[in-house]
Amino acid sequence: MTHHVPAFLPEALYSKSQLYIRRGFRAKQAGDLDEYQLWASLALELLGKAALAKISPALIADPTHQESLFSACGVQIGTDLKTITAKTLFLRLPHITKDFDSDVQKFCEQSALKRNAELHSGELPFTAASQEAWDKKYWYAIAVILVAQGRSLEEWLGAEDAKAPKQVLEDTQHAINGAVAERIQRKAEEFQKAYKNNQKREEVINASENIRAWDYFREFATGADEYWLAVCPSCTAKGVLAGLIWSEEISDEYDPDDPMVEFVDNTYLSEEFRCPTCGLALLGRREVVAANLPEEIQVRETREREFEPGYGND
Amino acid sequence: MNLDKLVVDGWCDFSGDYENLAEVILECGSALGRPVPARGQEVVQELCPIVCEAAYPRSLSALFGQGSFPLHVDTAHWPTPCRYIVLGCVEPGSDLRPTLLLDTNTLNLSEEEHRLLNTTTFRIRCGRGSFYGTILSPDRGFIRYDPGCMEPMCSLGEQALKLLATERWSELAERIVWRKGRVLVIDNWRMLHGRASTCANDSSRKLLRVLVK
Repeated sequence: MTHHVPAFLPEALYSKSQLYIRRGFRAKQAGDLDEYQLWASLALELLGKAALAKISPALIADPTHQESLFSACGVQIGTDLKTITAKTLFLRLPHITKDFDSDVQKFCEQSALKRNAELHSGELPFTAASQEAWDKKYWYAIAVILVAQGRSLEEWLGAEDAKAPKQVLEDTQHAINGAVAERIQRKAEEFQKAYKNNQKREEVINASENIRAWDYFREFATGADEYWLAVCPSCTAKGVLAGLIWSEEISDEYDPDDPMVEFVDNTYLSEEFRCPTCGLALLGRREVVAANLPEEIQVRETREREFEPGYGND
Repeated sequence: MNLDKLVVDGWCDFSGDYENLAEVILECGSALGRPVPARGQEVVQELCPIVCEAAYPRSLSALFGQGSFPLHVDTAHWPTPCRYIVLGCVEPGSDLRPTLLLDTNTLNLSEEEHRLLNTTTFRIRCGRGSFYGTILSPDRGFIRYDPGCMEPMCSLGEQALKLLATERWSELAERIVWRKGRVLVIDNWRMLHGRASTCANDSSRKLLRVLVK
């Protein structure tokens, strides 16, 4: 007989996350920002687990604990149930939404570490942290995780309580757009000053056509899976985008002239941009997107066919 | 679309003078479930009789060319075959080659024949996605049958394949004669379908297909 247990029910996790953020708001209204951030960090983790559990409860069951795995699959063989750690959760979330980039992941991991320090040590990890800076990152992470499970801030918080976080998100996006635009403009001006001669400037730009993306991997803060060239929005030379793998698919395409090869289509999401020519640096997916650079790239690999081609009714 | 007929008979059809037949069958498919692409291609796929040499290496066309196709279920090589197929006729071709439809619910199979279909193991060959399975199973509500990709693992398997072969059922099968603008909806979990043979293997027939999960 199969039945579902609350520990892994997406609805239960989601509802609990709502309850916890409300407790956080009450603490904030009472002036206790430490307690606010504690409840908020718990709400974040529960919301993330709800997003994964919506795909399958097995995604949040502790994989080393068979009672939990069975329960998550609808067969209860024990009552002691365990879910995945926050670290594992935040490693899995990037696979269900492109917007859960490395910046968001780092913030969520730090939030979980602070939560642990708050609960299990004598430290005061939430005290003296910049509330404004924390708010910006927190609400963005929450918004990304909500969208991943087809929800909105209004649904999670109620229309009234959602107003302030939405304003934070709008203001933050506005600030990012402004900062990126200003940085692009500044680098463009510096580049123009450095190369006043039109011909010399053209030569430098043309020379960038020959750069090899992977030669610049040491310049990047992110450890990327792929590097590729893109036109720099500041100087128009070729710069380098770094990205993380999002998906790998084996193509059904078949080369009749070379039946022993297969094509693998990999999609990489942009995380960081650096221009070796003018020095423009854009960190994180939001800055890359704000600069109108490509958000992703598909790269086709050719490799020796491991299996015969697939079958089709055609 | 006559959903009652689809439920009762396992298929239904309708016709019209459509400017955009692809849109019509896609809408039909969307009303029934989730249209999905085959082989990573477009969701609306063109099907025309082609010679073996021009076909994908692992396909019904590669095996049978422009000739008849045996009765089969589309996407029998998927772990769960698609639920419905929506076919639309762009061009019936000069030989008006019909599509055969066989309702597996109406076959008068003996207990022994049922047992054979339920227990005989096949290799369902589909590249890296290959697996073993049976034609029928008490654990699922669909039939899995496609001689193009199902290889018997023993002599009983050959017998099982023959139980549903076109030769045995062609008289009982419904013959859908195509005309431009005709749309056919098939319950792919229940109905077998195949391309009938004709004297001339005309390659001008063109159908559009949408697979629906």
